[in-house]
Amino acid sequence: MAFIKKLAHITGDLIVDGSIEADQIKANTITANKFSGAVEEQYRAYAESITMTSYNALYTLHEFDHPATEWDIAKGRSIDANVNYQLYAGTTSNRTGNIFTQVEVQVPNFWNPNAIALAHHDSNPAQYWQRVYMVGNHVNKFPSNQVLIDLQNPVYKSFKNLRYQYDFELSELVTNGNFNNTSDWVAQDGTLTVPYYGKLEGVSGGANKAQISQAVSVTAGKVYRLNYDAPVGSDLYKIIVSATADPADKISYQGDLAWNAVTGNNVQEFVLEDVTQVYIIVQNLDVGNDISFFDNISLKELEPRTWVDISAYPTNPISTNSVLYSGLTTGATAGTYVVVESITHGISNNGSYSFNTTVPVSAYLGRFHRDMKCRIRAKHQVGAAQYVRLQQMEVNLHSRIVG
Amino acid sequence: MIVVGYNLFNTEDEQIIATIQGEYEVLVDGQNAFNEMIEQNKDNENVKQFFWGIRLSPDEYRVTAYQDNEV
Repeated sequence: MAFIKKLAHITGDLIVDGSIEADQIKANTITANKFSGAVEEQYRAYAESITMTSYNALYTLHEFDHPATEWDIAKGRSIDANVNYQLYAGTTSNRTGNIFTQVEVQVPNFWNPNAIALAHHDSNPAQYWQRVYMVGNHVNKFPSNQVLIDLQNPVYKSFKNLRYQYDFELSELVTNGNFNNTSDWVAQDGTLTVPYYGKLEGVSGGANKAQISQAVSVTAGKVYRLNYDAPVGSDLYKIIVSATADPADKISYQGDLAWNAVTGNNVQEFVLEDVTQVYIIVQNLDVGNDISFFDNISLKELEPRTWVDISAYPTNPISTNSVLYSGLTTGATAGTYVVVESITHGISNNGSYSFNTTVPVSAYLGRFHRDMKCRIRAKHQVGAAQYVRLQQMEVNLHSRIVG
Repeated sequence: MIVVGYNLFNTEDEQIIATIQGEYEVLVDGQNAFNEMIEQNKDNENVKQFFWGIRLSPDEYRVTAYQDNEV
Protein backbone atom coordinates (compact mmCIF):
# COMPACT_ATOMS: atom_id res chain seq x y z
CA MET A 1 0.00 0.00 0.00
CA ALA A 2 1.36 3.37 -0.97
CA PHE A 3 2.36 5.67 1.85
CA ILE A 4 0.08 8.69 2.02
CA LYS A 5 0.59 11.66 4.29
CA LYS A 6 -2.12 14.24 4.46
CA LEU A 7 -1.00 17.84 4.24
CA ALA A 8 -0.76 19.39 7.67
CA HIS A 9 -3.09 22.25 8.48
CA ILE A 10 -2.72 24.97 11.07
CA THR A 11 -5.89 26.53 12.41
CA GLY A 12 -5.40 29.99 13.81
CA ASP A 13 -2.40 32.31 13.82
CA LEU A 14 1.16 31.10 13.38
CA ILE A 15 3.82 33.50 14.56
CA VAL A 16 7.38 32.67 13.56
CA ASP A 17 9.98 34.57 15.52
CA GLY A 18 12.78 33.61 13.18
CA SER A 19 13.09 32.28 9.65
CA ILE A 20 11.27 29.58 7.75
CA GLU A 21 13.30 27.07 5.82
CA ALA A 22 12.04 24.50 3.38
CA ASP A 23 13.49 22.24 0.73
CA GLN A 24 10.98 23.71 -1.68
CA ILE A 25 8.29 26.34 -1.65
CA LYS A 26 6.13 26.02 -4.73
CA ALA A 27 5.29 29.11 -6.72
CA ASN A 28 2.03 30.76 -5.65
CA THR A 29 1.57 28.52 -2.63
CA ILE A 30 2.15 31.25 -0.05
CA THR A 31 -1.19 33.03 -0.08
CA ALA A 32 -1.51 34.52 3.38
CA ASN A 33 -2.77 38.08 3.49
CA LYS A 34 0.71 39.41 4.19
CA PHE A 35 2.54 37.71 1.35
CA SER A 36 1.04 37.13 -2.01
CA GLY A 37 2.83 39.70 -4.11
CA ALA A 38 4.83 39.11 -7.22
CA VAL A 39 8.54 38.44 -6.90
CA GLU A 40 9.08 40.92 -9.69
CA GLU A 41 7.09 43.97 -10.74
CA GLN A 42 7.59 46.10 -13.81
CA TYR A 43 6.01 49.37 -14.86
CA ARG A 44 6.74 51.87 -17.59
CA ALA A 45 6.65 55.48 -18.59
CA TYR A 46 7.09 57.18 -21.94
CA ALA A 47 7.86 60.68 -23.16
CA GLU A 48 8.70 62.44 -26.40
CA SER A 49 9.17 65.80 -28.06
CA ILE A 50 10.96 68.01 -25.54
CA THR A 51 13.12 70.71 -27.10
CA MET A 52 16.15 72.01 -25.21
CA THR A 53 17.26 75.29 -26.73
CA SER A 54 19.30 76.90 -23.94
CA TYR A 55 22.90 75.94 -23.39
CA ASN A 56 23.58 74.29 -20.01
CA ALA A 57 19.99 74.71 -18.77
CA LEU A 58 18.29 71.73 -17.11
CA TYR A 59 15.11 70.54 -18.78
CA THR A 60 12.67 68.07 -17.28
CA LEU A 61 12.11 65.31 -19.81
CA HIS A 62 9.51 63.42 -17.82
CA GLU A 63 8.05 63.10 -14.32
CA PHE A 64 6.58 59.85 -13.05
CA ASP A 65 6.08 57.84 -9.85
CA HIS A 66 7.80 54.57 -9.03
CA PRO A 67 4.83 52.61 -7.57
CA ALA A 68 5.04 51.16 -4.08
CA THR A 69 5.60 47.41 -4.16
CA GLU A 70 2.78 44.94 -3.75
CA TRP A 71 2.07 44.24 -0.08
CA ASP A 72 4.85 46.68 0.84
CA ILE A 73 7.50 44.03 0.39
CA ALA A 74 10.98 45.59 0.30
CA LYS A 75 12.40 45.09 -3.17
CA GLY A 76 15.37 46.29 -5.18
CA ARG A 77 14.09 49.29 -7.17
CA SER A 78 15.57 50.50 -10.41
CA ILE A 79 14.91 52.95 -13.24
CA ASP A 80 16.24 52.26 -16.72
CA ALA A 81 15.64 54.48 -19.71
CA ASN A 82 16.73 54.72 -23.31
CA VAL A 83 16.75 58.36 -24.30
CA ASN A 84 16.79 59.17 -28.00
CA TYR A 85 18.13 62.68 -28.71
CA GLN A 86 18.32 64.74 -31.87
CA LEU A 87 21.05 67.36 -32.16
CA TYR A 88 19.80 69.95 -34.63
CA ALA A 89 22.78 72.06 -35.66
CA GLY A 90 21.04 73.95 -38.45
CA THR A 91 24.36 74.00 -40.30
CA THR A 92 26.94 71.58 -41.64
CA SER A 93 29.61 73.35 -39.58
CA ASN A 94 30.94 71.37 -36.65
CA ARG A 95 28.77 71.46 -33.52
CA THR A 96 30.18 69.30 -30.74
CA GLY A 97 29.58 68.98 -27.03
CA ASN A 98 27.95 66.89 -24.30
CA ILE A 99 24.49 65.90 -23.20
CA PHE A 100 23.97 65.27 -19.47
CA THR A 101 21.09 62.95 -18.58
CA GLN A 102 20.20 62.36 -14.96
CA VAL A 103 17.73 60.23 -13.03
CA GLU A 104 16.31 62.02 -10.00
CA VAL A 105 14.01 61.05 -7.12
CA GLN A 106 12.25 63.43 -4.79
CA VAL A 107 13.14 63.31 -1.10
CA PRO A 108 9.90 62.28 0.66
CA ASN A 109 8.59 63.98 3.79
CA PHE A 110 9.44 60.93 5.83
CA TRP A 111 12.29 58.60 5.07
CA ASN A 112 13.59 55.85 7.30
CA PRO A 113 17.10 54.90 6.13
CA ASN A 114 17.56 51.20 5.49
CA ALA A 115 20.52 49.54 7.16
CA ILE A 116 23.04 47.95 4.83
CA ALA A 117 25.52 46.22 7.16
CA LEU A 118 28.30 46.74 9.67
CA ALA A 119 31.29 48.11 7.76
CA HIS A 120 34.90 47.61 8.88
CA HIS A 121 37.83 49.83 7.98
CA ASP A 122 40.32 48.16 5.63
CA SER A 123 42.60 50.72 4.00
CA ASN A 124 42.92 53.99 2.11
CA PRO A 125 43.44 52.95 -1.54
CA ALA A 126 43.67 56.60 -2.68
CA GLN A 127 43.72 60.04 -1.10
CA TYR A 128 40.28 60.94 0.29
CA TRP A 129 38.90 57.43 -0.21
CA GLN A 130 38.43 54.83 2.52
CA ARG A 131 38.00 51.15 1.66
CA VAL A 132 35.67 49.23 3.96
CA TYR A 133 34.21 45.73 3.93
CA MET A 134 31.09 44.05 5.20
CA VAL A 135 30.75 40.33 5.86
CA GLY A 136 28.27 38.81 3.42
CA ASN A 137 26.72 39.98 0.19
CA HIS A 138 25.08 43.39 0.56
CA VAL A 139 25.53 44.93 -2.89
CA ASN A 140 21.78 45.08 -3.57
CA LYS A 141 21.23 47.31 -0.54
CA PHE A 142 23.35 50.15 -1.96
CA PRO A 143 21.58 52.79 -4.02
CA SER A 144 23.49 54.24 -6.95
CA ASN A 145 24.37 57.49 -5.23
CA GLN A 146 25.36 57.59 -1.53
CA VAL A 147 25.63 55.87 1.82
CA LEU A 148 24.78 57.19 5.26
CA ILE A 149 26.96 56.70 8.34
CA ASP A 150 26.02 57.27 11.98
CA LEU A 151 22.34 58.07 12.51
CA GLN A 152 23.18 60.21 15.57
CA ASN A 153 25.56 62.49 13.67
CA PRO A 154 24.58 61.77 10.07
CA VAL A 155 27.27 61.88 7.42
CA TYR A 156 26.36 61.20 3.78
CA LYS A 157 29.13 59.99 1.52
CA SER A 158 29.64 59.12 -2.13
CA PHE A 159 31.13 55.75 -2.90
CA LYS A 160 32.73 53.78 -5.73
CA ASN A 161 34.20 50.36 -6.47
CA LEU A 162 31.28 48.47 -4.91
CA ARG A 163 31.76 44.72 -5.37
CA TYR A 164 31.06 41.31 -3.89
CA GLN A 165 33.81 38.77 -3.30
CA TYR A 166 32.84 35.24 -2.29
CA ASP A 167 36.30 34.08 -1.34
CA PHE A 168 38.23 36.48 0.87
CA GLU A 169 40.85 34.29 2.51
CA LEU A 170 41.05 34.48 6.31
CA SER A 171 44.17 33.55 8.26
CA GLU A 172 46.20 30.44 7.63
CA LEU A 173 45.08 27.41 9.63
CA VAL A 174 47.90 25.01 8.80
CA THR A 175 51.09 25.41 10.79
CA ASN A 176 54.42 24.86 9.05
CA GLY A 177 52.72 24.13 5.75
CA ASN A 178 55.85 25.19 3.88
CA PHE A 179 58.00 22.63 5.69
CA ASN A 180 60.75 24.79 7.08
CA ASN A 181 61.26 21.87 9.45
CA THR A 182 59.41 18.74 10.50
CA SER A 183 57.50 20.19 13.42
CA ASP A 184 53.67 20.24 13.72
CA TRP A 185 53.26 17.17 11.50
CA VAL A 186 52.83 13.63 12.85
CA ALA A 187 54.43 10.97 10.68
CA GLN A 188 53.11 7.42 10.58
CA ASP A 189 54.56 4.36 8.79
CA GLY A 190 57.32 6.50 7.33
CA THR A 191 59.77 9.35 7.87
CA LEU A 192 59.29 13.04 7.22
CA THR A 193 62.32 15.08 6.21
CA VAL A 194 62.73 18.51 4.69
CA PRO A 195 65.59 18.38 2.16
CA TYR A 196 64.05 21.28 0.24
CA TYR A 197 60.34 20.48 0.08
CA GLY A 198 58.58 18.17 2.47
CA LYS A 199 59.61 14.59 1.78
CA LEU A 200 57.84 11.48 3.05
CA GLU A 201 59.54 8.10 2.69
CA GLY A 202 57.79 4.88 3.52
CA VAL A 203 59.28 1.89 5.25
CA SER A 204 60.81 -0.72 2.96
CA GLY A 205 58.58 -3.79 3.04
CA GLY A 206 56.00 -1.96 5.13
CA ALA A 207 52.37 -2.98 4.75
CA ASN A 208 50.88 0.50 5.11
CA LYS A 209 51.19 3.69 3.11
CA ALA A 210 53.25 6.31 4.90
CA GLN A 211 51.44 9.48 5.95
CA ILE A 212 51.79 12.72 7.85
CA SER A 213 48.88 14.53 9.45
CA GLN A 214 48.03 17.71 11.32
CA ALA A 215 44.87 18.58 13.28
CA VAL A 216 43.26 21.91 12.40
CA SER A 217 40.39 23.71 14.15
CA VAL A 218 37.59 24.80 11.84
CA THR A 219 34.09 26.27 12.05
CA ALA A 220 31.18 24.09 11.02
CA GLY A 221 29.27 25.30 7.99
CA LYS A 222 32.02 27.52 6.60
CA VAL A 223 33.69 27.33 3.19
CA TYR A 224 37.37 26.43 3.02
CA ARG A 225 40.10 26.52 0.40
CA LEU A 226 42.85 23.90 0.48
CA ASN A 227 46.04 24.64 -1.44
CA TYR A 228 48.92 22.17 -1.89
CA ASP A 229 51.89 21.88 -4.22
CA ALA A 230 53.30 18.76 -5.82
CA PRO A 231 56.79 19.90 -6.87
CA VAL A 232 58.11 16.56 -8.19
CA GLY A 233 56.01 14.91 -10.86
CA SER A 234 57.49 11.47 -10.36
CA ASP A 235 56.78 11.44 -6.59
CA LEU A 236 53.18 12.42 -6.12
CA TYR A 237 50.83 11.85 -3.17
CA LYS A 238 47.24 11.86 -2.00
CA ILE A 239 45.85 14.56 0.27
CA ILE A 240 42.88 13.81 2.51
CA VAL A 241 40.68 15.90 4.79
CA SER A 242 39.59 13.54 7.52
CA ALA A 243 37.70 13.60 10.80
CA THR A 244 40.58 11.70 12.44
CA ALA A 245 44.20 10.91 11.64
CA ASP A 246 42.89 7.81 9.88
CA PRO A 247 42.33 8.34 6.12
CA ALA A 248 39.37 5.97 6.34
CA ASP A 249 37.47 8.69 8.20
CA LYS A 250 37.70 11.07 5.29
CA ILE A 251 34.99 13.72 5.17
CA SER A 252 32.50 13.95 2.33
CA TYR A 253 31.08 17.06 0.74
CA GLN A 254 29.76 16.51 -2.76
CA GLY A 255 32.19 13.59 -2.89
CA ASP A 256 35.07 12.49 -0.69
CA LEU A 257 37.53 15.18 0.39
CA ALA A 258 40.49 13.15 -0.92
CA TRP A 259 42.46 13.95 -4.03
CA ASN A 260 45.50 12.65 -5.87
CA ALA A 261 47.87 15.60 -6.29
CA VAL A 262 48.92 16.59 -9.78
CA THR A 263 52.20 18.27 -10.60
CA GLY A 264 52.26 21.92 -9.64
CA ASN A 265 49.74 23.86 -7.56
CA ASN A 266 46.46 22.21 -6.56
CA VAL A 267 43.37 23.99 -5.20
CA GLN A 268 40.18 22.57 -3.68
CA GLU A 269 37.18 24.37 -2.19
CA PHE A 270 34.56 22.75 0.01
CA VAL A 271 32.19 23.25 2.92
CA LEU A 272 32.99 21.61 6.25
CA GLU A 273 29.42 21.05 7.30
CA ASP A 274 29.34 19.67 10.84
CA VAL A 275 32.87 19.37 12.23
CA THR A 276 34.99 21.65 14.38
CA GLN A 277 38.29 19.87 13.83
CA VAL A 278 39.75 18.14 10.80
CA TYR A 279 43.02 16.41 9.99
CA ILE A 280 45.00 17.29 6.90
CA ILE A 281 46.64 14.04 5.81
CA VAL A 282 49.37 13.64 3.21
CA GLN A 283 49.62 10.02 2.18
CA ASN A 284 52.04 8.23 -0.14
CA LEU A 285 50.42 6.58 -3.14
CA ASP A 286 52.00 3.17 -2.52
CA VAL A 287 53.02 0.99 0.39
CA GLY A 288 56.62 0.12 1.11
CA ASN A 289 59.52 2.41 0.34
CA ASP A 290 57.48 4.90 -1.68
CA ILE A 291 58.51 8.58 -1.70
CA SER A 292 56.51 11.73 -2.14
CA PHE A 293 57.39 15.42 -2.20
CA PHE A 294 55.01 18.18 -1.18
CA ASP A 295 55.03 21.84 -0.24
CA ASN A 296 52.91 24.90 0.62
CA ILE A 297 50.01 23.07 2.22
CA SER A 298 47.44 25.65 3.21
CA LEU A 299 43.89 25.65 4.56
CA LYS A 300 41.99 28.93 4.87
CA GLU A 301 38.39 29.79 5.60
CA LEU A 302 36.74 31.78 2.81
CA GLU A 303 34.64 34.70 3.97
CA PRO A 304 32.10 36.33 1.66
CA ARG A 305 32.62 40.07 1.68
CA THR A 306 31.18 43.22 0.18
CA TRP A 307 33.81 45.87 -0.57
CA VAL A 308 33.29 49.55 -1.21
CA ASP A 309 35.38 52.72 -1.28
CA ILE A 310 33.77 55.62 0.58
CA SER A 311 34.53 59.29 0.07
CA ALA A 312 36.85 60.30 2.92
CA TYR A 313 37.26 64.05 2.62
CA PRO A 314 38.52 65.54 4.85
CA THR A 315 38.98 62.44 7.07
CA ASN A 316 37.96 58.80 7.23
CA PRO A 317 34.26 58.61 8.12
CA ILE A 318 34.71 55.20 9.78
CA SER A 319 37.38 54.83 12.47
CA THR A 320 37.11 51.09 13.20
CA ASN A 321 33.62 49.99 12.24
CA SER A 322 30.19 51.50 11.83
CA VAL A 323 26.81 50.56 10.39
CA LEU A 324 26.22 51.76 6.84
CA TYR A 325 22.75 52.83 5.73
CA SER A 326 21.29 53.63 2.35
CA GLY A 327 21.99 57.30 1.66
CA LEU A 328 19.51 57.69 -1.19
CA THR A 329 18.33 61.12 0.00
CA THR A 330 21.94 62.40 0.39
CA GLY A 331 20.70 64.38 3.41
CA ALA A 332 18.89 66.88 1.19
CA THR A 333 15.68 68.37 2.58
CA ALA A 334 12.21 67.04 1.77
CA GLY A 335 10.96 68.05 -1.66
CA THR A 336 14.44 68.35 -3.15
CA TYR A 337 15.21 66.12 -6.13
CA VAL A 338 18.20 63.86 -5.62
CA VAL A 339 20.41 62.94 -8.56
CA VAL A 340 20.68 59.18 -8.28
CA GLU A 341 22.58 58.68 -11.52
CA SER A 342 24.04 61.04 -14.11
CA ILE A 343 25.37 60.13 -17.56
CA THR A 344 27.53 62.34 -19.76
CA HIS A 345 27.27 61.59 -23.47
CA GLY A 346 29.42 63.21 -26.15
CA ILE A 347 27.60 64.34 -29.29
CA SER A 348 28.55 65.92 -32.64
CA ASN A 349 26.60 66.69 -35.80
CA ASN A 350 29.35 65.09 -37.92
CA GLY A 351 28.88 67.56 -40.78
CA SER A 352 25.11 67.12 -40.93
CA TYR A 353 22.26 69.48 -40.16
CA SER A 354 20.82 66.91 -37.80
CA PHE A 355 22.23 63.99 -35.84
CA ASN A 356 20.48 61.38 -33.66
CA THR A 357 21.86 59.36 -30.78
CA THR A 358 20.49 57.13 -28.03
CA VAL A 359 21.68 57.41 -24.43
CA PRO A 360 20.95 54.59 -21.97
CA VAL A 361 20.68 55.67 -18.35
CA SER A 362 20.20 53.40 -15.36
CA ALA A 363 19.72 54.11 -11.66
CA TYR A 364 19.37 51.74 -8.73
CA LEU A 365 17.49 53.14 -5.75
CA GLY A 366 18.20 50.43 -3.20
CA ARG A 367 15.82 48.09 -1.39
CA PHE A 368 12.58 49.53 -0.02
CA HIS A 369 8.85 49.46 -0.69
CA ARG A 370 7.34 52.96 -0.79
CA ASP A 371 6.12 55.21 -3.62
CA MET A 372 8.77 57.54 -5.01
CA LYS A 373 8.38 60.58 -7.19
CA CYS A 374 10.91 60.46 -9.99
CA ARG A 375 11.96 62.46 -12.99
CA ILE A 376 14.52 62.38 -15.75
CA ARG A 377 16.23 65.63 -16.63
CA ALA A 378 18.84 66.67 -19.15
CA LYS A 379 20.95 69.58 -20.29
CA HIS A 380 23.24 70.07 -23.22
CA GLN A 381 26.53 71.85 -23.65
CA VAL A 382 26.68 72.03 -27.43
CA GLY A 383 27.77 75.53 -28.34
CA ALA A 384 25.92 77.34 -31.16
CA ALA A 385 23.55 74.43 -31.82
CA GLN A 386 19.97 75.39 -32.61
CA TYR A 387 18.67 72.85 -30.13
CA VAL A 388 18.89 69.35 -28.71
CA ARG A 389 15.58 67.56 -28.69
CA LEU A 390 14.24 64.54 -26.90
CA GLN A 391 12.77 62.46 -29.70
CA GLN A 392 11.39 59.71 -27.49
CA MET A 393 12.23 58.00 -24.23
CA GLU A 394 11.09 54.61 -22.94
CA VAL A 395 11.39 54.23 -19.15
CA ASN A 396 11.30 50.91 -17.31
CA LEU A 397 10.55 50.89 -13.58
CA HIS A 398 11.59 47.67 -12.00
CA SER A 399 11.05 46.21 -8.52
CA ARG A 400 12.37 42.80 -7.63
CA ILE A 401 12.93 40.80 -4.48
CA VAL A 402 16.68 40.77 -3.97
CA GLY A 403 18.98 39.38 -1.31
CA MET B 1 31.62 68.17 3.79
CA ILE B 2 28.28 69.48 2.50
CA VAL B 3 28.27 71.99 -0.34
CA VAL B 4 25.25 74.24 -0.99
CA GLY B 5 24.87 76.72 -3.84
CA TYR B 6 22.85 77.73 -6.85
CA ASN B 7 22.92 77.84 -10.65
CA LEU B 8 22.92 81.48 -11.75
CA PHE B 9 21.97 82.61 -15.26
CA ASN B 10 24.36 85.36 -16.37
CA THR B 11 22.36 87.70 -18.61
CA GLU B 12 25.47 89.20 -20.24
CA ASP B 13 26.91 86.04 -21.75
CA GLU B 14 23.77 83.91 -21.28
CA GLN B 15 25.77 81.25 -19.44
CA ILE B 16 24.65 79.34 -16.36
CA ILE B 17 27.28 79.45 -13.65
CA ALA B 18 27.36 77.29 -10.52
CA THR B 19 27.93 79.41 -7.42
CA ILE B 20 28.85 77.86 -4.09
CA GLN B 21 27.12 79.61 -1.19
CA GLY B 22 28.81 77.73 1.63
CA GLU B 23 30.27 74.47 2.95
CA TYR B 24 29.32 72.73 6.20
CA GLU B 25 30.58 69.77 8.19
CA VAL B 26 27.38 69.13 10.13
CA LEU B 27 24.28 67.93 8.27
CA VAL B 28 21.77 70.12 10.06
CA ASP B 29 23.94 73.21 9.49
CA GLY B 30 23.96 72.43 5.77
CA GLN B 31 20.20 71.90 5.72
CA ASN B 32 19.59 75.21 7.53
CA ALA B 33 21.95 77.04 5.17
CA PHE B 34 20.22 75.47 2.18
CA ASN B 35 16.81 76.66 3.35
CA GLU B 36 18.13 80.12 4.16
CA MET B 37 19.76 80.35 0.73
CA ILE B 38 16.44 79.52 -0.92
CA GLU B 39 14.65 82.13 1.15
CA GLN B 40 17.23 84.78 0.23
CA ASN B 41 17.27 84.02 -3.49
CA LYS B 42 13.80 82.74 -4.28
CA ASP B 43 12.77 86.02 -5.96
CA ASN B 44 15.86 86.23 -8.16
CA GLU B 45 14.70 84.99 -11.52
CA ASN B 46 18.27 84.47 -12.66
CA VAL B 47 18.71 81.76 -10.04
CA LYS B 48 17.55 78.66 -11.85
CA GLN B 49 18.26 75.91 -9.33
CA PHE B 50 19.55 75.52 -5.82
CA PHE B 51 21.90 72.61 -5.39
CA TRP B 52 23.11 70.38 -2.62
CA GLY B 53 26.32 68.40 -2.87
CA ILE B 54 29.35 66.80 -1.28
CA ARG B 55 32.97 67.79 -1.43
CA LEU B 56 35.20 64.94 -2.59
CA SER B 57 38.53 66.76 -2.36
CA PRO B 58 39.79 70.35 -2.08
CA ASP B 59 39.37 70.68 -5.85
CA GLU B 60 36.26 68.62 -6.54
CA TYR B 61 32.65 68.55 -5.44
CA ARG B 62 29.65 66.59 -6.69
CA VAL B 63 26.10 67.92 -6.89
CA THR B 64 23.75 65.32 -5.45
CA ALA B 65 20.38 67.11 -5.37
CA TYR B 66 18.53 70.05 -6.89
CA GLN B 67 15.60 72.24 -6.05
CA ASP B 68 14.25 74.36 -8.89
CA ASN B 69 13.65 78.02 -8.19
CA GLU B 70 9.97 78.50 -9.00
CA VAL B 71 10.02 82.25 -9.58
